[in-house]
Amino acid sequence: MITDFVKAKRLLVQLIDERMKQAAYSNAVMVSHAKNIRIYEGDKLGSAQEDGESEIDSLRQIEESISISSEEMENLTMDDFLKKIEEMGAKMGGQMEQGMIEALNNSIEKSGNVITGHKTISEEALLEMTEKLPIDFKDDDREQPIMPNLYVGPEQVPVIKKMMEAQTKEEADEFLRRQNKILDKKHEEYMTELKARKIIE
Amino acid sequence: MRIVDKIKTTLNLITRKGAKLERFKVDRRINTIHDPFISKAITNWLHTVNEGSYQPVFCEWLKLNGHIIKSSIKNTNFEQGKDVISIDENNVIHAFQLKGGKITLDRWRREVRPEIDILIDGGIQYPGIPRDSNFVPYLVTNSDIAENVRSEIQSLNDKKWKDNPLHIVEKGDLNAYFQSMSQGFLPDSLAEYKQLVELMVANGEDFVDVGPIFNFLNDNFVKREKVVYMQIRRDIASVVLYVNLMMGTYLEKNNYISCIRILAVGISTILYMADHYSLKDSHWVGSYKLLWEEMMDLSKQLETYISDSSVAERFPGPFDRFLMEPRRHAASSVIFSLKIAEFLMGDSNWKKMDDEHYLKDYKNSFYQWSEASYVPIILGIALMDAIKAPNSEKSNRVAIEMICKQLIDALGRKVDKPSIDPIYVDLYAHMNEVASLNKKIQDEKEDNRLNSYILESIILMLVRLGSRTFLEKEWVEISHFRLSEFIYENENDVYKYRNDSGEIRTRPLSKVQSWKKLEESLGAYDTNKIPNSLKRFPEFIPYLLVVYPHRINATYLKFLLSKLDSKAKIQ
Repeated sequence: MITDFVKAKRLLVQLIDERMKQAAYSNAVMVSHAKNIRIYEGDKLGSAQEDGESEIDSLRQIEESISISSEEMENLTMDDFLKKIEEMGAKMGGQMEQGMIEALNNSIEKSGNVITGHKTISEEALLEMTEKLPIDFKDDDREQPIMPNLYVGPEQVPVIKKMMEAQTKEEADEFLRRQNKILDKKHEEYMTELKARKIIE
Repeated sequence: MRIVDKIKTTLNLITRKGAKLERFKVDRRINTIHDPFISKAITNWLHTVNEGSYQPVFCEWLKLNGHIIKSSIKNTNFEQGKDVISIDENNVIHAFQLKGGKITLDRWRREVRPEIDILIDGGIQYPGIPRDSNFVPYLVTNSDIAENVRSEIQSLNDKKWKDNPLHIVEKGDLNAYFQSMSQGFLPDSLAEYKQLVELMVANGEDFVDVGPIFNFLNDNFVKREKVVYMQIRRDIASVVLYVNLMMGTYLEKNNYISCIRILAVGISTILYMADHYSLKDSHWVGSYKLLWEEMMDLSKQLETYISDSSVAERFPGPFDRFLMEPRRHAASSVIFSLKIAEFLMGDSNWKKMDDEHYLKDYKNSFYQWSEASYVPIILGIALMDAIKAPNSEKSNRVAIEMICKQLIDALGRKVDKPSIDPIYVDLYAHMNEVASLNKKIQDEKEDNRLNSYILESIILMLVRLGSRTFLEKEWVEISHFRLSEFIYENENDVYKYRNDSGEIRTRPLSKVQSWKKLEESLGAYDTNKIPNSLKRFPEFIPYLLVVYPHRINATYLKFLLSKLDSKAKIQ
């Protein structure tokens, strides 16, 4: 063989790995916001709830591949190669996101935490969602609600944009007023729940 | 006929009447295991160790060849000239005087000969063995015996000792014996050689990473399917040998802590095999005790070193000062384990914990990096509470409350980013990360907020110490946590550094918690979750938890506390 540069290759693999992961997380916005927990041992994740119900998740494997023909190899530049890696990363991110959405949908269906009666996203739907979701408050401060992230499909983005552009000042103020009323109630529930946590005899 | 049987038969051919100078024979033709690398490794190791260090391996070899060890003495003033006494399968008694280094004529006359006279003339003084029993005496060294010494011994064997001639064992013999122990595992490929070489030539001053030690022992002695009992027995002997080989460079530097860590992994491997194969006592308890006694001995040597040396001596340079905290933490962890073990075994040396002057060396030795940091302190508090050390009640409570508060501040609901790592990040992993300035990419950074492996143990101690007021005050914060625990497929898996299968389970704390129920749960635990060997030798628990801090859970802590309490009542 012609001598190789193994350490340099190793470094390159590391850099490529990082680029792939960045591409994956860029295409998996929900996943990138989710809490990361490292599995140090074992092959199952179990979760028990206060009502005693528990479930076990087995780990899922995600894989993607790239192929480079010998003709492509002749003229392959580093930029071309990185582009392929990023495409692969994006696909893996898509798989991760898909897996997460499936898991969420199953969970949501089980819990019944669904709002119905809205053909598309609207102010009413947003308010109804805010009403249903548990909301925490940073430092228990009413003025610092930790609002949930809204994840929508790409087809909903122009709908939301149109909705916001069409909104008048009065409609915006009314929306805020109604949202604040919901947050007032949420804060009250939140503080009541906090105070309910205690040691009893 | 099996190889071991052939060796045993040859050994039993030793005669005493009209004896010429004889060695403890091994027919090297039968010993078909001659791996040049292992031979060199053993030679190098023998060259670096003293008699105290090769004694356990020598005893293990004797046991592998059917001997029962009656006595194995190290570092004692009681001198009857015998370091090891054993009885073979034909009920012949053997008495060994172990030496380290070359036996020159000067040394022979000044130091060794008087001891050999006691060895041969003194008779066996051991309970159950009649004083006038016949026995075979040996002089064992990990080096050579000078030619002129052999001549003197020959002459003595012909005359003064003609009724009980001295046999000699030198480094070549020890090499052959110990090579036979390595039958349990011989490297098969260059990759395996590399793995073993790396473990044996590590920098002896370093804090050892137990992961590779575990992987080596697990891959080569635990994972492989056993077919016959003798294979398991050989594997246990090999574990003893390889643990000692791997300790070599650390022992040379008096790096007690790293040696203790390696020994703990070795002991865990033996206990795993003992429980997994439901071995009879005779097949493993002796080997366990060999490594255990080594570990205790080194722990005591560490204790002596800490109390004897000044701070300046211990931390001489600027980098030493910078790294003082994690190093002190590593040392204190071992000492707390030692004291608990001494207390459980009835060794009165534990009483030093009552002494404020003694404790000053260990105060302020806490270094926080992950949940693993808290394990030694919890163990220390458990002991101090059990022994009801003077003025300790309040300080124990303050200490455990401080730990809980730190955990809340590091991982609680009001925290933006976690400031300590999960329990699986041990001190080695942490220092590696610090030194390499390894910054994980943000997206991959682990978020262990509101998840804790150790909180349940902390709550247990808070309840035991009567910290109701504190719990009432902090329950709002504490109750937001989820308790994490690793659920083993088999209770013996606790002995493994990592398990391929098993479940990481989280569960919530009750929002409304009854104090009475917490108190009632103090003594309630499932004994089926504890391996039989650990129930039998609970003194190993603190060492297991200090080397594998991620193994701490409420069950083991409750079990340990119950043992401490029982012992305290007797005391």
